[in-house]
Amino acid sequence: MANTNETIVTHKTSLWPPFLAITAGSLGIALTFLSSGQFMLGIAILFSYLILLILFIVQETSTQKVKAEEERPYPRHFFMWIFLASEVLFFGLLIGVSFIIRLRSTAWADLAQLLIELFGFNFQKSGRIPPVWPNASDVLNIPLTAVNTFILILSSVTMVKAVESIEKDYKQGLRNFLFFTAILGAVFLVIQLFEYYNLFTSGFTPDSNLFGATFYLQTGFHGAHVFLGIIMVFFIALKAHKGGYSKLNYSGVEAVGLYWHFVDLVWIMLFTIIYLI
Amino acid sequence: MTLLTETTSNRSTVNQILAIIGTTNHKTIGLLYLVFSILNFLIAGLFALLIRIELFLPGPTIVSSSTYAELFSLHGTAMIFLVAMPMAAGFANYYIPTLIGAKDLYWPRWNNAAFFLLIPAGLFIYLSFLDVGWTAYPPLSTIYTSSAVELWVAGIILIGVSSMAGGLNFVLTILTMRKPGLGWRSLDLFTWSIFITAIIQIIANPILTTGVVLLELDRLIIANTASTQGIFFASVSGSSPVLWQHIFWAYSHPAVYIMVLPAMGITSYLISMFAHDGDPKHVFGYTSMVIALGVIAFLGTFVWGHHLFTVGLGSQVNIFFMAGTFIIAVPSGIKTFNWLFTLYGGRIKFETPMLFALGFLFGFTLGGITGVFLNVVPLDLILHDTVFVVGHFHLIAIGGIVSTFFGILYYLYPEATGKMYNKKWANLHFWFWTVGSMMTFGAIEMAGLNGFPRRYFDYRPDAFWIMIWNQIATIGAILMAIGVLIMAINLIQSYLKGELAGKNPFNFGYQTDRNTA
Repeated sequence: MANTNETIVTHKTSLWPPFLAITAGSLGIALTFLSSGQFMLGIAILFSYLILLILFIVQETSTQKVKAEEERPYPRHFFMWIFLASEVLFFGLLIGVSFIIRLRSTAWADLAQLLIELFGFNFQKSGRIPPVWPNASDVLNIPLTAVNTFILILSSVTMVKAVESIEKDYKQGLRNFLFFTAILGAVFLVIQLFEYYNLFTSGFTPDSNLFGATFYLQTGFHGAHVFLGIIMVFFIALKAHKGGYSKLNYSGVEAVGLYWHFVDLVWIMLFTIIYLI
Repeated sequence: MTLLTETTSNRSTVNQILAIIGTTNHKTIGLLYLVFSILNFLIAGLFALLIRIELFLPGPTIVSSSTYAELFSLHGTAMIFLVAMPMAAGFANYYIPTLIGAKDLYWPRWNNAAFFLLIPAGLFIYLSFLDVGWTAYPPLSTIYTSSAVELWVAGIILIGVSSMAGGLNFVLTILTMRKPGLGWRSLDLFTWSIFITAIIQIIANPILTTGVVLLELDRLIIANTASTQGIFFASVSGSSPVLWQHIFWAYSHPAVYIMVLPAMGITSYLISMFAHDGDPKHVFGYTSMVIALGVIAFLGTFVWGHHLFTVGLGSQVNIFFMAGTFIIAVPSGIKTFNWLFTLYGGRIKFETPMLFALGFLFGFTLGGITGVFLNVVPLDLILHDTVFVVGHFHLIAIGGIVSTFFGILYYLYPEATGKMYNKKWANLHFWFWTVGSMMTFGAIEMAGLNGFPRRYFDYRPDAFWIMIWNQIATIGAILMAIGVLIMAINLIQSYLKGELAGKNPFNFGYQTDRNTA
């Protein structure tokens, strides 16, 4: 059947996507270095790829014209919901894994016994060594993290205010609140790194026991998400500064806002499960 | 291909190549996907052929046992991640926007990136020389292997990103970019199947990504600390290797449906096209077909435990997974009967694409029924880890999924290249392929019933029946290889010297929008 050329003419070529996609191969090289003991080299490769990615985002935000609203119909930030659905599964699995390991450990022996009696699900199989699961309050600095949680919740509030401002076409408010959000997120990350530093110096590392492994895994991935969120907020703030958003066109802010609230929500769950329960 | 060169005529060679690499046109990207997956199909198929030739005679014949382990591991990984998934994505890229009347996908540039992520991923998967099976069970994959599992992990993560981007793209395209008046109830079944597949991709992908990250952390802990067993999948720390099996199959069972649902959609499309004179929406029981797709996708995410019947999860858990798996047979049966009733009373054109679609019905039914056997827990305890499982899976995957992919490839060929393939040779390909695959995998199932374990390099010369079934399987595999060779020669030859296809190469009477477009 005949190929219509009219669709072909409208397509623009761009070498950025294939270039970034192929250089994503640096991930494999980095992992090889990491597991052959050259830790810093692996990290360096990963970070140089991240810088390349940020350069791409800068180029995209500064050159690509925003398409007219009718070309992108109703679910303007719907993709973020679908993406978050997959993120829910990602964190759900991480939390689930640590939950099941914890059921096997000595910490929750009563609960595990109850599960056997009620449903017949036996997590603590005989002949298997139950994992060491220290009391969270013995190892972690809970008051510090409580403050940190408050900071992250505050950043969610400023994000809501940012979306509210642009709904009323108050552009100065959008810029200010996005700025506050990014700052609060950064403060959260700095406090988390400080906490990690303290824990490492006191000898609590990922390979000390399964509690340590799952702790660093969950909080570490959450931290990576916050880091990504800060980059996203930074770029929409950049665009807002150039006057890229208006009352009619602010779906980018809404999408980033959804992501930010999601990360916040995940933290509240992690805080409850790891630190409090 | 014409489409590739037409885009870029009147330019220098370098610019033409750059224009193809940087393309955002869904048809060109679709063809890139197809070329990529066909190349990988030839490589991974060659691995399979070597495996079969090795098993033709007892004793080591052409490869060593360690090479054999690499062959079956890479064959499995490559066939699933680099052949079946990209091929479905290729056909979807090529057809979905035209079927729903959209100009392109929602994010054309993401679409391009999703394809090019596959290239480093493929490179890593081959370079890893994985020898622990495509399932990479720890502690085999964490402690006892010298192959570069890191590279395999990197490949899997990149493929995860790629299929995530692709899946999001298709969901958004189908949700928002349908032409006015094209409601959900008038979508064709191919679009429906891609929509549902994309949703499973989005839901299931993070599970595998999490799993391989944990596996990699285990390997990093072993490499960089004093720990000798890792921590997440090691029994010394109190965790357990069974955790990986849960995570892996919670992804890999839905992944089977990621492969089979597009094939079902394509089969519906081809059968209604060739049985009803070019009408893609003339299917029996349209509503039940859509509901069956949805039910298969939904149930498919909850039944991974039937891969773990012999692990010892407890009888309650096993019964739960067994019941769930049995229920999946119901929508699959509904679909099969609906295809048969679509054929009933139609004016069937036995062109090559139609033959392959009928081959799908055949392979899918046989493979599906052997799957029902395997799902019976007491029987599975006997048949688990024999080649019966391999035969069951390949009957569906090769006899079914790949068959229907060949069908749509022959259907797409005149449209994409403007030339007609040689019909006699194409039909010969069909017969070699179908007879060969039934022979191979039927014989493999028989070898499994005789107790031949999977992934074994050798068998005793006095195991007479195992030897006979293995030899029949090898002869079948050679027939399949001849069929693929015929296809390759036919497609290249027709592209160079074939006759022009014209606007309606299959002489359909019913002209839909997309036939005339």
